Amino acid sequence: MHDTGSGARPPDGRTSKAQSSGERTFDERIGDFYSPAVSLNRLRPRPDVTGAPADLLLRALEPPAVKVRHIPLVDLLRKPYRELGGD
Amino acid sequence: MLVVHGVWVDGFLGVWAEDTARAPRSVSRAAPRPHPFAASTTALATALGGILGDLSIEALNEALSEVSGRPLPRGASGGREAVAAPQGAATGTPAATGTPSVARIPGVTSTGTVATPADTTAVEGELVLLLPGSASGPLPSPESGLASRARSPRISAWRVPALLFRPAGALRLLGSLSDLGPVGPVGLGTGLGTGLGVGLGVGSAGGAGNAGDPGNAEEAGDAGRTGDTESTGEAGDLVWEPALSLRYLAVVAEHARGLVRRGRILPQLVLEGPEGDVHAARWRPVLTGADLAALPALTAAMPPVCRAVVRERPAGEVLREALDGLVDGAARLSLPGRLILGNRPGPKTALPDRWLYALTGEDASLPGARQDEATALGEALTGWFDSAHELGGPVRVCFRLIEPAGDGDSWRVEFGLAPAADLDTVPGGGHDGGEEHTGDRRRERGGGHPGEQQRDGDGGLHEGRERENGGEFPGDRGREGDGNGRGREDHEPVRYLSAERIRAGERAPWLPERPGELIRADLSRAVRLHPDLYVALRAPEPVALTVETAWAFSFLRNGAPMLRAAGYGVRLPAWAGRQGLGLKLTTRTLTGGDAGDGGGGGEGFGLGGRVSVRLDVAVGDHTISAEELAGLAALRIPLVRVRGRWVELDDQQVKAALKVIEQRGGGERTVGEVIREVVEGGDERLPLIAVDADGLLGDLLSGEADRRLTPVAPPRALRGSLRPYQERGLSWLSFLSGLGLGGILADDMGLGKTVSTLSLLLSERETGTPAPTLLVCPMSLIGNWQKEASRFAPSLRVHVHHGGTRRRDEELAAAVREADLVVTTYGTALRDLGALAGLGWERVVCDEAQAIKNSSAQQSRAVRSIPARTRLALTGTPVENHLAELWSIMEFCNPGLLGPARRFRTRYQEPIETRRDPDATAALKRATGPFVLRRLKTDRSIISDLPEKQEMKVWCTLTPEQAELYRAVTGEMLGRIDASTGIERRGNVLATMTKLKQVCNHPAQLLKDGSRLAGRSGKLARLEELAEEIVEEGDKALVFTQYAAFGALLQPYLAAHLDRPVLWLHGGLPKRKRDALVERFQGQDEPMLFLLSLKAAGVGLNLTAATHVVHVDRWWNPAVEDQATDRAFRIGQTRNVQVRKFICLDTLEERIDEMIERKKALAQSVVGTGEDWITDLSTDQLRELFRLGPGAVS
Repeated sequence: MHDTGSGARPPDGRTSKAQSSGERTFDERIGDFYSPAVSLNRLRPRPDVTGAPADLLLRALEPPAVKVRHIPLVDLLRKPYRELGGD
Repeated sequence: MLVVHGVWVDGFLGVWAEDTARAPRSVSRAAPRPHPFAASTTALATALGGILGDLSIEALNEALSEVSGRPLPRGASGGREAVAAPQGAATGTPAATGTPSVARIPGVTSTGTVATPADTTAVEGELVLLLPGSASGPLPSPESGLASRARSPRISAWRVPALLFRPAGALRLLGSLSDLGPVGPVGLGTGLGTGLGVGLGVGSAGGAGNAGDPGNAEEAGDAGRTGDTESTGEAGDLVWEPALSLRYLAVVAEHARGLVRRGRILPQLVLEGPEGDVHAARWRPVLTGADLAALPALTAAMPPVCRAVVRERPAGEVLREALDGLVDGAARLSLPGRLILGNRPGPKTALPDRWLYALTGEDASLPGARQDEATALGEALTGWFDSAHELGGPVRVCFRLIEPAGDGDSWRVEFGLAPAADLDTVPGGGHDGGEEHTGDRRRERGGGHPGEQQRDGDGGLHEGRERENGGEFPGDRGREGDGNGRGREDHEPVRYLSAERIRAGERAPWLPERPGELIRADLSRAVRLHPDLYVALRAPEPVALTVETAWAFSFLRNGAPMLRAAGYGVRLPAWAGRQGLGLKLTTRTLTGGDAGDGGGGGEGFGLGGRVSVRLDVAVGDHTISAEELAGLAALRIPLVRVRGRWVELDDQQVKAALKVIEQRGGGERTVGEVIREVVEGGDERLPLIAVDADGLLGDLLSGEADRRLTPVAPPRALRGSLRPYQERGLSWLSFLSGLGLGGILADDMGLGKTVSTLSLLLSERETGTPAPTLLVCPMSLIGNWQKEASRFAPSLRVHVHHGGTRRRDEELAAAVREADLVVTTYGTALRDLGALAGLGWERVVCDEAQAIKNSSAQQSRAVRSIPARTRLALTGTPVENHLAELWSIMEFCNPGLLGPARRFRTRYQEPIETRRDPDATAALKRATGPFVLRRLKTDRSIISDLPEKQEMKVWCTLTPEQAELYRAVTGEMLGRIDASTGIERRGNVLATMTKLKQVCNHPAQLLKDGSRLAGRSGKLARLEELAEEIVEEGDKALVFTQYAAFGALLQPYLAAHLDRPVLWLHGGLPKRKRDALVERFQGQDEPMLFLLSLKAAGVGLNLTAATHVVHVDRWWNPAVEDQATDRAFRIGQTRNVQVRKFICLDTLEERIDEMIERKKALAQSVVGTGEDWITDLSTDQLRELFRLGPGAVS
């Protein structure tokens, strides 16, 4: 049973969603409440070795039918996207 | 110390802290109750200001350059403005942008606004957190080191003061944690006075930059306690440490920044606000392939505390919210202020115009958007977003380029299908044929150094050998380039099917129902990326294309990288992307009078000696004549076959090569010039790809100098014998030293770097009287060096320069003149730089040289600036995180040899770290190989040299606090012993022993006050260093203590410190749990520690997964210790085991150890019974036994 300090139930059914998602509840995680379940080293993003241009998505997708001041959206985005990757 | 935690709450990073100085205490029963030892926001803001305030605007931009490449916009915010909208400046400072209406977020109450410097505005508030605890208070986190006493902890609600950061500020804070070490201290009073409501002064000292340096711990500890503070006083000790929850969110932020940097984002129109009825312009991540595959692990790993605001939220929901917020924030920081020029759109402007403006502006919201406009825009953008995810289907098209057979010109591009999961786990979409990340740090960091590949070929800096398999897709074994897959072994699952095989009726479980349709649909999409592929669509069922060399070249150069990046499988011939033309340097020893000073590479070899040199243009091992090169230059297509090998040529390269041939680079150079030329590695267009040198120069440049050099006999004055590999190491050290060159001795831990160094000092004193060597090491190793020198090299005169009573000025100079080896710490070297740099040194040695891995850190600069004839770095991990660390250590050893840091970065670091460029890897190995000697425990030749069980003593010193406690215990207890008799006296003696051993372990063990662990025990410091090294090497260790209470303190502390599992087995565990722990330790691959109570685990267990055993405290009974050691060293153990026994210098621990060593026979009979024999000693004998000697304190 949860203790909210005054004997009241926890607000807005706090366990329902987590439980329904199949996660262990907080009560079951007391021993490792502050710790990640696996080493953070394993979670870090891998270095990008593809060398893909940052505007790849814009190139690969059929552009949306959106224009701003009569200019296709993709044309407006292409240069800023390239600069995201430091090109 | 503040232990700073992170939560994600409705668009904000919430930061709160436990203050270890505020001992847990009972609190009122108000609901929810205030957390009794949470830090105030004042203390928190002051501490974090050390990081945030340490960065000037310029430095901040640099830190964010990977994201943005442009200055941080003032007041930039990617947060959910609908719930955190600025409402005007509350504090009157330019930095403050306002007070968000965070009170509307459940569980969050805003209490004000704190402006941290450089436009990062944090909202001061209060969070209601669900935390485990008891009626009297919440349990402290493991990182706090505070004792937890709840018997049956339950989840309860607690109020904590917190700072809330919008995504822009959150990204700054989380980004600054990338070096994830203890942070602080924060020196106040010198920085920016913010003049805010809470009156904080935020200094510029400390900060993240150098805080992670191991060698800084000494200074951090001192300064943290004495820091001049002008805060409210609540901050107290302002040393702080990011807790795992905050570090977890830093990892999420890394993912967010990576997504933005790679353009894996699309703009969307969303609904936000408390009622979900306000349109807003947001950037959203496109999660496909490896990005999508990473989500389940990130979700499962989220510490519960990250999602514990008010209610128990699902981790997936919180992660997605954090990722969305951080991506939006990072995109806004990275993109230009405006995406289209012109007037600022007004409320009546067309929605797409307003939306585009809001994508980069401070305010993302679009109030009053017309429904029809919003529907049209939203549908178009949603369709776009959805189609981006179609690229990430479960089965994908693959392209395989097959080179012409024989001398023909007919290339083939084969189409096929493979499960996406296989492609997603192989960087480059399977390009490298199984070059797979393991997630193992050791592999990622290249096993420490690229040079090691020359020895064992198993480093993590990937050589190109993976490409030699003929271009297979994963699971596509047995294919020899015929595209038919014949010869595949039956038991292997089919992981790739060519279109031809599919058309022939072959099937696999993962294949979709209509594979032909998928191939055609994916090819249609691929045409957008590489239009040359459109010809394939002419066929109703595309199978393959037969193409000419020009087409193949275009595919190699343009199509393949693009298709691979988009998630398609691409397989190229092994040579693709490799270096084409390069330089080959040939040197030959000159004989007789031509050799000049230093013998030219033969006998009497020296840097000034001359050798003949010749530069040729080469492809691989083949040199190319001028005629051949001219013929290549005339070719229309820069994809050519040279002597049976296909090479991609580059115009610039060919021009550079022609120039080299014209100049006919040759003649004579000094050995020093040749070494420099090899290290420089040619230029970017025409790198040095091969070196052929003879004589000693050839030995040196081979990277195998230790094996090829004439052996140096072990010095006669050495007390002990060197193992064969240590003798080779001595030869290498002597050789480099003789040349005046520096080196990095990077042998695995336990292989004897210390004794090798001492042997070098002894050896050079057999033939002369060199100036003294200055050895700089972490404070925790001073005692060890003293002890090892007296044990192996007693003829060396050792002077320790450390501590408050150390000699200064002329006294120091006199002491140094009389010494062979001067030992000091990194901290003292920095403080006494002027005095030390003014003395004459033969050599400066940096032990645990990872302490100088940050080249700009003060202590790195300090040791580099001490003049010496030669230098030596000792480290088991020359590369912990990135290659710049190797540059920094090499810069100490051989200043200037690797060139400027910027050139190193572009020439080696970036190609290797971002693309794993095999040519750059080989070049770096060639450049650094001569100066790095690294042998691994796993090398076959080393294993045969090592005993199966290596026992070592680890000498530790006490901290001043430990020494004070030790004296107090001794004084009090000797009085009691003297005044008692019989059983009472025996009891008092044993109690004294116990107390003193507890002091030697850690003050907190004796005091039982739940106080912090960090920085208060020499043994713990040594254990931390050792444990880090063990897990870095991918090993497992058993750590024995006879005190369950100490183990209980160590377990959470080490687990948090190492970020690796630390298991804890003690007598209080039921058998079922013990078995589960043993099974986990034996079964899981991850490096970890197993803490064991000597009594509970000394016998019976089989723990052969461990290759290290540490006895933190001693039972003084060799049989008991051996039994414990044998948990790892027993039948089933296939590797060598290293056993370490910790002993505190000049304390009862050392004296009892001496007695055991001196009287082995006696020890077997009397000491073998445990500690009882000590109770029979007289009070005078006990006084001598317990005495605290001068060498005890660090």
